[in-house]
This record gives sequence, structure tokens and C-alpha cells, in this order.
Amino acid sequence: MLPAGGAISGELMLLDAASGAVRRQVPLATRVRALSFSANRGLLAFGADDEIGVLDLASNALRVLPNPTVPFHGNLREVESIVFSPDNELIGVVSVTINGINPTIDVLGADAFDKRVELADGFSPVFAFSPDSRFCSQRRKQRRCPGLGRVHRR
Amino acid sequence: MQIRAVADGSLVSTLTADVPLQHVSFSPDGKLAAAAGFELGDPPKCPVIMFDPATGTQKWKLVPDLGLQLSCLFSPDGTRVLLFHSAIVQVCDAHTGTQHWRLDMTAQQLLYRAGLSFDGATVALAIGNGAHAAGRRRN
Repeated sequence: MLPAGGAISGELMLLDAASGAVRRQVPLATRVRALSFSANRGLLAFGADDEIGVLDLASNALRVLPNPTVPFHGNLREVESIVFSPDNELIGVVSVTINGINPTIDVLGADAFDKRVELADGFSPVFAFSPDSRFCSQRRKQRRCPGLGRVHRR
Repeated sequence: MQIRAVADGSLVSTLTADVPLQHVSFSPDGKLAAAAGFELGDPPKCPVIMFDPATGTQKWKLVPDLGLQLSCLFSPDGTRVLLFHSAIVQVCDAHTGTQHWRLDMTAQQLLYRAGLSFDGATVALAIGNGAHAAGRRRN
């Protein structure tokens, strides 16, 4: 799908891994910059310039919401990476300003996209969940050790 | 690129190539290591080399025709490897390098990220469409 008039848009494309055949194309209003499969719920989370979404691979149900980190301190932000927690209940969203700096990490509930943790003032867009999904890590400015956040459970 | 034992840090093998190796991905069983290299030049060199990490032996080498450094992801069963950068995505046999399929982005498409589902059945591509793609297809 090509946008008219040179505008920027995006799409999520799903392919059969064995044959390369295109199974589904999901057109979106902005560039799709990041994606992450859940481990066992059949979900695909994705992040675009100013929105995030979850696609249910079995039902093809699509939920798209504005990126909760946009705008941030008056600056437009775009999604740099997105990570499903190992227990499939949380989504970590790393957003940066349009010049690629000031990473902010938001941990959202995978079902309602409700914000559980916000880690701002980061130094590097490197983020990870612990294997039990209880902790997440972020490299902070002016610190030698990674910041460590406890994920709030509902 | 050195492969070291996690237990004691001892050197297991050294992966060598004619260009600097940028990163390595291990197969799920640890018996293969895919290394992506990159060196500026005209044209730039950017091979993907599959190694036996236990010995450092090269098993196969793929040199893309687009001058792009590729990222590598193994399928969950370790039999295939997904290679991608901004303009192409391809799936190869992990043991031989034989290409199963390849998809080239159009001039208006920029591939930001690719992923494999945990069952290995689905490849997902994160794509941006627009004129911005043309100027960002090279390293």
C-alpha cells in the first residue's frame, strides 16, 4: 500500500515462514517501527510513530491506541522498540524523541494498555524483562548501574 | 569475535572473517552461530557467516547484493534462519545457507524490524511507506 502525495504511512505484514507467502497486510497511518510476538497467547504487539497496537493472530482482532508517551515534555516521540513480557501480560514500549534521544520506557498491561510503570530520563533504549516478568531494566543517565523497576501487578 | 564459556570465561573458539563481525546470534541448540559483519567501502562488505561455535569453523557464507548489514534470527527449531535489513527479508536453511525465499521491499518501503512467531510459522514485518525510504536504504 503506497500513500498518495508522498505522505508517510506504514503497514504490518504477516508472511508464511515456510513459503514467504503474504498472509495479511495491516495498513496503518504511520510507520511501523517495532514488533514483538507474545510467547504463548498468539498476540503480536507493534509500535508505530504515534500509536501502538496488538493483533490477535487467531481472530485477526486488532486493537490500536495512541502511544501513551506522545507527546512527552512537548516533544513528539516515536516507538523505538516494543517487548512482550515472558508471561505475556505486559508490554514494554521504548519511545525516543524524533532525533533518537531521550528514551522513555513505559510498561503497559497487554490487555487494556494501562500504564504500570514509566521510566523516563533514560540513557539508552535498551530494555529487558526478567524471566519471571517481575522486574524490568533500564540504563539510566549518569549512573553506572542499570536502573531496575518493579513491575506493578494487578 | 570470541566464543567463551559462561561457566569460567575460558576461550572456546575464535570466529574470524575478512570484515569486522558486528554481532552474533546462536541457534536454539547452541550448535550454530550466525555472525553479521560490516565494513565500509565501495561497495561495503556485509556478509552473514554461519559458524560452528565449538570450533570456529565456517559452515557457509552469504554476501547480500544490496550493501546492507543483515540481522539474523533463528527459527525456534533451529533449522532456518531469518535474515533482514531495511530493503530485504529472506529465510535460509540454517545448516546449508540455501535460500528458501526472499522478499524485496519496494522503493517506497523501509523495513524497520522483522520477527518470528514462537511456533516458527509466521514472519512479521514492521514497514514504513513513503518517499523517506529511498534515502535510508544504505548503512
